[in-house]
Formats: sequence, structure tokens, C-alpha cells
Amino acid sequence: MNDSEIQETINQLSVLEPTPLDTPRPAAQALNQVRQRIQAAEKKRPPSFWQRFFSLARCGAGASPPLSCSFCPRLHLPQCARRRQ
Amino acid sequence: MSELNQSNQPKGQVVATLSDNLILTRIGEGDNVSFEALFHAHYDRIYGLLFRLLGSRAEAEDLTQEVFIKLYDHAFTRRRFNLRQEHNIGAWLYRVATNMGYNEIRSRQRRWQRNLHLAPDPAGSLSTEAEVSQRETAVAVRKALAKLPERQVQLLILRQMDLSYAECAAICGVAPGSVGTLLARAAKAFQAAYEEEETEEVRS
Repeated sequence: MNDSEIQETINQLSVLEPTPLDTPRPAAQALNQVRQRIQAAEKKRPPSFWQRFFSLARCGAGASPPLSCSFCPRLHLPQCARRRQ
Repeated sequence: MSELNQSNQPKGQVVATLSDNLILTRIGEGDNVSFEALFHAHYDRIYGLLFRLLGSRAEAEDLTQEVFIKLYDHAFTRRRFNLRQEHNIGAWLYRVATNMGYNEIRSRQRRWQRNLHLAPDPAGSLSTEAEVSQRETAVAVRKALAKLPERQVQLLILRQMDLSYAECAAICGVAPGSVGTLLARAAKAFQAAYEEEETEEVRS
């Protein structure tokens, strides 16, 4: 198959192009919907493994570390430092 | 300018000047302006690709939104696990869109098999003869495409959308040098399938 035949075949697919009736809603409107869907998905999303891990973990003082705590809650919690003193 | 220096610049600047890697990093950090710029840059093309695959405005719009939601999730996952590979976001979007389009086609086929009465009438809502004829041609083209492997369909549609060989190669994950051969093979397969489709149409 030569180049012009390939091009001719590709041109046949132009019937699949969206017609003016198939024009999508404006991008700004679609973007708003995407934002809403992202927010809805974030609300429904179950906590990650590490979020569950830290919410269950306890430091030496018995305090539950905050979710933003790094990987070693025992060393980072101020309550632990007080107990050591 | 190094990427480290660029990341110290104020957020929300023109996305086209930044590397794809940095744009993803910024989206992962919650930079909405980068996400919006990316959305506006690719929305029409991704919709066009999905419309060509699915032939339905509502489905194509819905899946286009899904593709961008996936991009947003991808950026966050990438940040959480500190993944730093260089990405071609455009190629990634097209690839995800094609996969999602095919998933939709497969689930649509399953739905139709379960509920035959839901199968759409191809010319149901059309008025003029020209519209009916065009829709029939589109249906025949889609049926012929359905007989081809997914990658061949993807290549043909991407070329029909005027994407370069290099872009097609990046999206399909093949060497740029092999796109011409693959395309010729795909075009030949399409012609054979289309002729077969026309013959079947005449017989019925």
C-alpha cells in the first residue's frame, strides 16, 4: 500500500468526526464538573494504609500521632519527649 | 534552567514553558492553575478521540472528564510515592483515553447483550437523507474498525486527527521508525474489513 492509498484510507475515517451537533459542552463548564467529581471522589475515598496505620499507632505516652506525622511517631511526638525528661 | 530552579518560581505560570514532569509535580502539590491549563490544552482533542471511538456525545464527554480525573489522581499518587520519571502527559492522556474508550465499548457490548431492546437505532433521530447516509457510512466504518486489533484502530484514528508519526509512536508505545509500517498494515486491514462489511450489507 503506497502513501496516497494510506491517506485515502485515513480520510475515510473522517465520517467519525464530531459534527456541529456533537460539539461538547464548553471546556470551562466541563472543568467545573471535573472539579466537583474530584471533590466528591475525595470525600468518598477510604483512608490509605498509612493513614489507617497512624490513626491506630500509639506513642510511648499513649497519644495517637497526627496523620501528618512522619514514619516514626515515637520519636516525633512532643508527649514522648516530655515523658523521657 | 534546571528543574530545581523552575520549581522555585511562582506557581500557576504558563504550563507550556514547563517540563511535563514539573507540571505533574505541581498538580500533585495542588496547583489548580497547572491542572486547568492542561485541561484547556487537551480537552478538545481527548473528546475528539473518544467521540471517534464511541460515536456518542454524552459518553465521550463523560469519559473525557474521567480521563482528567485519572490524571489528577495520577499526579497525587506520583507525588505520594515520590515517583520522578519523565512523563509525556499528552501521550499519557491519549493512551488512557483509548483504554477507557475500549473498556466502555466492551461494557456497552455486554449491556446490549443483556438488554437487546436498548441497542440504539443507528438512524433513529436523523432527518435528512444525507444525514442518514452519513450515519450509515459511519456505522459501517465503526463495524470495520471493530474487526481490527485495538492498536491498529488507535493508529488510524490518531493519524486521522493529524497527529505526527512521533506523537503516534509516543502514544502507542512503539518506535517512531515503525509507525509507517504499522500504519500501512492497519490501513490494509481496514480496507479488507470495510469491503467485507459492505459485502455483508449487500447480502443482507
